[in-house]
Amino acid sequence: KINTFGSEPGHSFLLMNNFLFEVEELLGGESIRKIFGKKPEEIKNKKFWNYYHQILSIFLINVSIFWSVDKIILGGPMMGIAQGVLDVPVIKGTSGILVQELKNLSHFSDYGPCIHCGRCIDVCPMNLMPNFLSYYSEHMLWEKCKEYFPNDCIECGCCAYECPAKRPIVQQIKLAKFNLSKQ
Amino acid sequence: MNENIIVTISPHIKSRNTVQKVMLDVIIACIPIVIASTYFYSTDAIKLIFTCVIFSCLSEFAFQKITKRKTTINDLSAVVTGLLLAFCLPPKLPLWIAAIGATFSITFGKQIFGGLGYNPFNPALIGRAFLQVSWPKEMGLWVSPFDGLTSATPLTISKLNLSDKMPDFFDMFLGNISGSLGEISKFSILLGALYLLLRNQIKLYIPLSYILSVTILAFIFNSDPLFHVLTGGLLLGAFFMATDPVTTPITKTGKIIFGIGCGSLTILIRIKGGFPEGVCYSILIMNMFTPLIDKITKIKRFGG
Repeated sequence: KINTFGSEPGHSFLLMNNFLFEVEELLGGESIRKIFGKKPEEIKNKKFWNYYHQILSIFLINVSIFWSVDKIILGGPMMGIAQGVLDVPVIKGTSGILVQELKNLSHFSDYGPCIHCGRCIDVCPMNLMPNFLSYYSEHMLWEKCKEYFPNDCIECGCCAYECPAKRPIVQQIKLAKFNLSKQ
Repeated sequence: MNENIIVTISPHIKSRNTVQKVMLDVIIACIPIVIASTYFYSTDAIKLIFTCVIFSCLSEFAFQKITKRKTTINDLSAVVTGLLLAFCLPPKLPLWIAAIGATFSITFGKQIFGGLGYNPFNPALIGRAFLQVSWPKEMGLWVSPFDGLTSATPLTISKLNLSDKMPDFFDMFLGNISGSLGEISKFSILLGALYLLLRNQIKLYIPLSYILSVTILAFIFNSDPLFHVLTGGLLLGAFFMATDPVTTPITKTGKIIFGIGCGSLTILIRIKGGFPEGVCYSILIMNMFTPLIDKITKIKRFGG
């Protein structure tokens, strides 16, 4: 029987066979080496990994029941993908699993026109001009988009975080990339 | 397990800053100017400001209802336009002219181009330019503070070499001179600008390059630089009109070019031109160059 006591992510506890474990202690690669004296990639026993998968999945489901989360995201808060169902595999690019409650969500149902405040330009790590990319992509002027190098965008989401008009800039740039690749 | 999991696009966290909060900050920055104009012109100022704000909000609402657009009255941009229009009007202006000006600036300055974000010109200055050419006599009716007697502005005195007594720089700074509502008290303008700077809503590129180019050019033209900075609507224009994000360039280089262009045109109109004051027209002319400046001052991309 496995129970979890969720306090905060990264510091949750598992109650397993009447022993209390910290989740980090049990599941991290470093902790596996401490307990078994082997590196994780050296352990070839399939039963061992099946057991560990069970612990992890039970832990995750318990967390979602315990907190009754409203949003489950594979990846970080900026670039992660929100999940509609939980029967999805964890892929190589999944850096973590994030859960959000309704009261912590940023709710902006609609977006307005760009007011050219220039905040997105200030934060862009690739020195692009996301305001023009967003504007031309919204009006489907792909050739104009090309002048502002949408393919250099690393989709970090900083522009969309800062935007006071709450425009979906990352998605508009992705659309421009897709349409330019078709040509 | 919660059955209704929310699925949205990334990023899943967003800054709390919205367009409404940006506009609210501008309105808060305008409060010192409203207080100063009320102190110097009492009820005339209050009546004019309320007329402009109410009619700009009403005309925005009416235009969006007639054209069946989404009503965006709650983003407060119409209130800002009304306030800024009232700040560049003379205190004794008949209220019906102010109402027409507010309606014109919202309808033909902003909404006809597609609303906030698409206007090529500063709507408040469009309204003022329209009133200036339509009712030049009423728009030139300057009165001195407190007593309400007709008296020329310092710029008019210097332009036409009138015999009126020129106020000293301390009065110009505090606002005890004749002029339009918002431009008399430089102290209140600087207070408002300080608030905007602390809240990170405006950047100093345009105001500094504007004021510095005015100072240097006034020095070259053998005119008193401090006189040109402290008279007219230069500080109001530099901190509140020329920093309007919609109608000004977006890059740092572009902002500096814009400021220098505004300063040169202001001094050119004030010293060589026919009008005593050139801030309104210089900003409107430079607004026309904004798309061009944006085009030639693209940022160099990382590694490009």
